[in-house]
Amino acid sequence: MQSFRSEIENPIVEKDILELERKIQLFKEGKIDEERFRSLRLARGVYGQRQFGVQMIRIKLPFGKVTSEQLHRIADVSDEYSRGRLHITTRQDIQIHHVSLDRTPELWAQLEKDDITLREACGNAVRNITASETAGIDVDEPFDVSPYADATFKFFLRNPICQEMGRKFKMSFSGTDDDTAISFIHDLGFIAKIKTENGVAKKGFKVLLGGGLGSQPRHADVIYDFLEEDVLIPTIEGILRIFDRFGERSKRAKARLKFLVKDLGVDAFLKLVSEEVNALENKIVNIDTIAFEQPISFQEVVIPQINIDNETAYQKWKETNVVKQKQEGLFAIGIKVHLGDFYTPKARLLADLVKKYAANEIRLTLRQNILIRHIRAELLPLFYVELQKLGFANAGYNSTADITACPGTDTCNLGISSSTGIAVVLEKVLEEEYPNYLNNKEIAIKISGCMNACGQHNMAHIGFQGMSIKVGNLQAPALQVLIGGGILGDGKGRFSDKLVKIPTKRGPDALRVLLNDIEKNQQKEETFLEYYDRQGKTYFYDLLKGLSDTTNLKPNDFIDWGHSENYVKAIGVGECAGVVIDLIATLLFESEEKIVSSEEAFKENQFSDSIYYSYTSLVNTAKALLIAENVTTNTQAGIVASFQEHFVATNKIDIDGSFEDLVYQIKNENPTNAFANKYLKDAKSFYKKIDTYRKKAVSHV
Amino acid sequence: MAIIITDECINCGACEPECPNTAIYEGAVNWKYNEGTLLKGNIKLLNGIAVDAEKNQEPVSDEYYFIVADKCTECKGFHEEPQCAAVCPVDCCVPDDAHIETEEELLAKQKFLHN
Repeated sequence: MQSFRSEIENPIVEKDILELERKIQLFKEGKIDEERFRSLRLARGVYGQRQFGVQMIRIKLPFGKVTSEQLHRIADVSDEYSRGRLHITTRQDIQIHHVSLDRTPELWAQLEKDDITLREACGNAVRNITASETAGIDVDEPFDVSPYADATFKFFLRNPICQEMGRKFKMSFSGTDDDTAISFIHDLGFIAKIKTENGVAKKGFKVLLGGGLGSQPRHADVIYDFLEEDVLIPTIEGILRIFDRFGERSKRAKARLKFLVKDLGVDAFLKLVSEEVNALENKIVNIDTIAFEQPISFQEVVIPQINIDNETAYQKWKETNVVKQKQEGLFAIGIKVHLGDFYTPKARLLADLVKKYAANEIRLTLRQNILIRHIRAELLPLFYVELQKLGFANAGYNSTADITACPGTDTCNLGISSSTGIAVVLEKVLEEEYPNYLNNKEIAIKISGCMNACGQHNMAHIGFQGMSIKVGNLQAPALQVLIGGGILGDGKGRFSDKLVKIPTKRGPDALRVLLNDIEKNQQKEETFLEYYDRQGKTYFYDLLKGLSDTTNLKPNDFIDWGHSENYVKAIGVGECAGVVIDLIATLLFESEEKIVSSEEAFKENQFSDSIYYSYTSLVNTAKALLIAENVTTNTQAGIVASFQEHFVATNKIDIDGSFEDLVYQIKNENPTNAFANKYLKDAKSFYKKIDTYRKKAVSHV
Repeated sequence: MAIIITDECINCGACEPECPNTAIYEGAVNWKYNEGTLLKGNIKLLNGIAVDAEKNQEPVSDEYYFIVADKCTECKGFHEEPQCAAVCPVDCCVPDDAHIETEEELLAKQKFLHN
């Protein structure tokens, strides 16, 4: 258990891992509050799962980029600490399950040897930054967005402004107007753009704000048609600061940025962001793209002679799974990974293959697949044969038959009915009865086990969502059928209509009814969405309504896909966010911790960080006292206003000027040495004042 | 009948935006008669009770999403079936035995709210 301690080279990472180990120990000894511990472990990628006593670990892989060495490392870690399965998520992470909590620090230390982090993979933080998997190789892209995704990831990792926000924060980068990174469903979505001014071509982004799926989807608003690349990071920073201060904290279901943007309105929100400009240490942040512009290098290899047995199958595979790159003579190969699950022996063989014959890099895709980049034309037959041996050469990459599904009731606490089970069955229906859909890249089918939409079912052309239905005293597993969503491009998209709820065992029939109807009535020149719009929602509702009848269910209808026993509804509480911490002592203790962090950052000349820690300390301290007097709060801004009203205006607490003036120095002052020093002193003296007040109050009880 | 949300509710919020009458609220949230309706000022409800349509009313439930029976028309006048029940992932929006109304009464309520 101790062996990993000496092996970590980066002192910041070492500190993180040792802290996790220490907090696990304190938690086991009952010395820290369970909820508090939960939010700490979540911010380090350690999640609960449906099975008691074990953890799901989410490995954060910015824009899905993985080298051969990293894939080997992840495979080793999965074998050692998990069960050898790797699950690719729709946000380009890898999840492994059934990990013992005690071993998570050691696991993390192992991953760090190849620069892989768990930090802020879950919890109320900036989650993995996603990007189009074709970034850097796409024939249509104006430029490679990878360095921007990478810089954004690095800038906000461990940044004090976004460690304990009201809710999680997701960002995506699309390389082209096809918007494959789905910007309209992200808190912040970026689409690469070039703008030519006075003959100079500038790189920048179209920016979308406040989108999201979940049970109440919201289409993001365009806030900039063109934001220049050097203000990308300062813009994100301003938005995160406002989200941290004004974001809802007590009502978890209303805490995502989309609700704040909806409540305030886009203009008012952006006005608040613009008022943060003084607090930013860097008004301009230039992003270094050089590391991503190096020549592509290959190992020197003899290209083996390959015989293709079945030329037709090979051609079909090339047609559906091979993508031409913008680099002359190079190709990318898509691997259709069934449900995003693959296993370590194959992962290692793939890693070796990619190292020897490609350019040592794969990208995990947003549709839970793998894209190998930089394959020379003459090596395509070799890859076909080798991938076939691994079962990785099935045709239909990114096709209708390439169904996206979250893990659902297999491992997730929140799942209502099986998503993977129905996905397997539907893929079979497509392969056996509708093989032409292996070639269809227009219609996407996506499935989530519950309304939280990790499988993105409510933006798919055809979506299914896990549900349950009551039939007398019994519960049957069910699916909601949704139609009509999709990416329209350039930041626009559609959410699907919820059509009808059917017993889950009728899922295949629902798909058959739909596809048969399309085949019969869709006109040649019509897209799927045009056809859907022409017929209208009611038409499809009527088409499927017959399947919703529950008066004629058979015993088998009460058993979910992939199960042999009757369905039992078992839904836990989500923990992707830590619960609001309302313990006075915990809050005060944390305020002290923030002051220590502020001092440390100050000593390192990290003034902006120091200031933010002081700010958080001020807010936490005020909150502790408000809670002690039963004043409820739901945002940081609310805490500041309430504290002024209840304690300062009433002269219970004596400070110079108002509490607002004290706290909001943060947005009026530049992050200088002098201000950081003063603000730290302010935070300390405020803490001391409150601590004294509190001790007095408690001693009177 | 109005629809009621039972304690099986998982607080997912899927029902809330579906309600054509803005009769559904998150647990512990104050609500008003005028929200999502054309009611204004001092009004007399169909049952004769006088209320201020613009005044905050106490939440019906502190723990789960709830439906204000006075604002629920079971989607009569809007949809073929109650939309909350149609989208509820755990089937916990059910007819409320304490508020049994005929189709005429529900349509009259719909008129009262929106005319």
